[in-house]
Amino acid sequence: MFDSSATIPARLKVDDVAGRVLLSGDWTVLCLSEDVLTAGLQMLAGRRRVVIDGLGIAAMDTSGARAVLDLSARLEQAGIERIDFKGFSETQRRLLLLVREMPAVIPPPPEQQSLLEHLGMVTLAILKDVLAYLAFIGSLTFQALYWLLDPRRIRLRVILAEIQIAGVNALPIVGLLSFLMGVVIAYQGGDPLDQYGANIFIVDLVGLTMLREIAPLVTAIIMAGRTGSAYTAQIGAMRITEEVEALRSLAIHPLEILALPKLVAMIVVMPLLIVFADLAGLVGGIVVSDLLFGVSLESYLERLPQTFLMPSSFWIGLVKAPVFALIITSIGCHQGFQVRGGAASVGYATTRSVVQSIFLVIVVDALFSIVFNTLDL
Amino acid sequence: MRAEPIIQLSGIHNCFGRNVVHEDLSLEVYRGEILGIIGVSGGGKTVLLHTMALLRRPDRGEVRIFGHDTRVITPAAERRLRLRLGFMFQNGALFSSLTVFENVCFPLDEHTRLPEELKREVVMLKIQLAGLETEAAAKCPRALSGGMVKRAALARTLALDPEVLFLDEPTAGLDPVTAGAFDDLVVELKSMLGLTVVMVTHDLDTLWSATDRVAFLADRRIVAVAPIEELTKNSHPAIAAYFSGRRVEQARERAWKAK
Ligand SMILES: Nc1ncnc2c1ncn2[C@@H]1O[C@H](COP(=O)(O)OP(=O)(O)O)[C@@H](O)[C@H]1O
Ligand SMILES: [Mg+2]
Repeated sequence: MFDSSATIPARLKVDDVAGRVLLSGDWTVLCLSEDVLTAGLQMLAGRRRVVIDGLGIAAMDTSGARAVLDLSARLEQAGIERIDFKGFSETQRRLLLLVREMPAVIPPPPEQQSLLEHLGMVTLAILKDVLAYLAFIGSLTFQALYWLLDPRRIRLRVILAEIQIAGVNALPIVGLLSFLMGVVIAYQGGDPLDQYGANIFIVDLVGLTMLREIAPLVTAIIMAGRTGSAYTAQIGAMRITEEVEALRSLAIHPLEILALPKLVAMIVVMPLLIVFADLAGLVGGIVVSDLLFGVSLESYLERLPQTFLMPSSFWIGLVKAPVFALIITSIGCHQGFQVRGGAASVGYATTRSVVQSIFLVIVVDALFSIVFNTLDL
Repeated sequence: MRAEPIIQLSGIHNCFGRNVVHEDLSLEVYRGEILGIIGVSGGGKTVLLHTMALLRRPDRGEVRIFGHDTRVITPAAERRLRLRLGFMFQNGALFSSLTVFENVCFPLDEHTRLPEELKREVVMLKIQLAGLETEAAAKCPRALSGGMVKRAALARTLALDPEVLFLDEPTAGLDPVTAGAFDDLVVELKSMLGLTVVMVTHDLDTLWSATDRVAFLADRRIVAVAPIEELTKNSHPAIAAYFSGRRVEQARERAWKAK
């Protein structure tokens, strides 16, 4: 008999002649449903006395008791003066008494924000975030100065480990994507040049776009998605488990061990990755122009140094590297330290980190273009 | 009234790699009792509780719950069984992105077809039953104190009116007053709702005041199950070591005074 897992749905039957409400079945949380609870009660309106008969109830739990009491409350509201409970077992009565003691409070619905209020809150949140970011940059700078004043404190091991993770491990994906970009540029630009018989200018096209724009941008976007997000998630999870506070209690500044090594590593790694991306992109261009447009490897390599903006293109691409590294690392770490509360907030912070750093990278890239243009580089 | 066993473990083996945690372990839980499980830290109490609550499949051995052999059970039947078991985790395991109210409402949303208003009343009922102020309902888990987290976790565990309640160190980390109040709450709920309770605890006061029987886990198996008074007189070396010392005497005295 101890398997009572077979259930009977809760039923309610109104006997309007005798003025009874007959309850039957399992009045348990899993067996109650809406249609049962209100069926036919209006037939009893206008009576003075109603009996709620629980004889047919097979099982009752606290939710069932709550439902029975709600039923009686509804009858009372309908103007019935006397409501008697009949046929309930001793334990069911005790349960009803227990539940009746707990007033049926329902929490107030969460306050609705007006549109204007919401707009204000969002604006304030953004301003606060910007301020906090500036403050973060400030304390990061301070920590970096401490390191310069006391170079023994520089954590070389941690930095090397970060270089391994952020740089060496990213080589395959950076190389592959840049190679493909080189292929695409040569392929797309090759056709119109071919029509003018200016095939050799594919070299200029690929060289310029890759070195100046595409290689730094692709590298930065990959690093924001791959490394910046990892920084946010790591620091965010450490905040939730109070590991950041643990560091502080051990008299170690969290930035010194969690942010600075990452920043140094990224500043070292970013230019190297961009050079690697340059090479991969050029190789992609060579493959296409050799195979499809009849520009041989020798003429490609011969032409490459002569493209009219050659040395400066390379350096312009590289100048952006430390700036992008700073943006990605600082936003990644900052968002990590902003995590408050639970697991979901790590997810939000990671999203924000990637979106903001890619956004900022592209904005800064545009600014660079304007500056270089006015400088005639 | 000799109650029927509702959970039967026999010949349970549990290991993690080469670390054997349980070996040929057997234990029965009777309907309507509060069973305490004690043993040294890292002795496998949590793993045992997980095994009983279908959260971990033992590497060998039989787990019967309400008479069902859980090794040969259909997924649908297993789901029905789970709904009758409630598990309160050591650290509460409240969903951090939901408020207390939403945490308690979650299982009701998932598994029941209660009308909206009744559902909300039931949630508030559970929150009150667990001894929380109604204001706590709107709070996020991180805004709660340790004792409130335990109570909120208890409220969520009670949401579907389980027949068996598993509590993993429910009073660990609480101050004595809060812990004592929690023990009283568990005993009260058990008698009011007719629950069966299996709890892991290190709290000697809880053992004396709340449990009907206590199982001692040592050497990878249950070496004794008895009411606490009797268990303290057991001559097994691990048990004798556990109950030696002044703190046990003090707990016993407190329990007597309380009665
Ligand atoms: N997920 C796991 N992986 C590996 N080992 C585990 C795991 N969970 C528990 N253990 C091991 O099982 C043993 C018992 O753990 P536990 O049941 O948590 O002890 P306690 O009695 O303190 O609750 C410990 O030795 C622990 O190392
Ligand atoms: Mg444990």
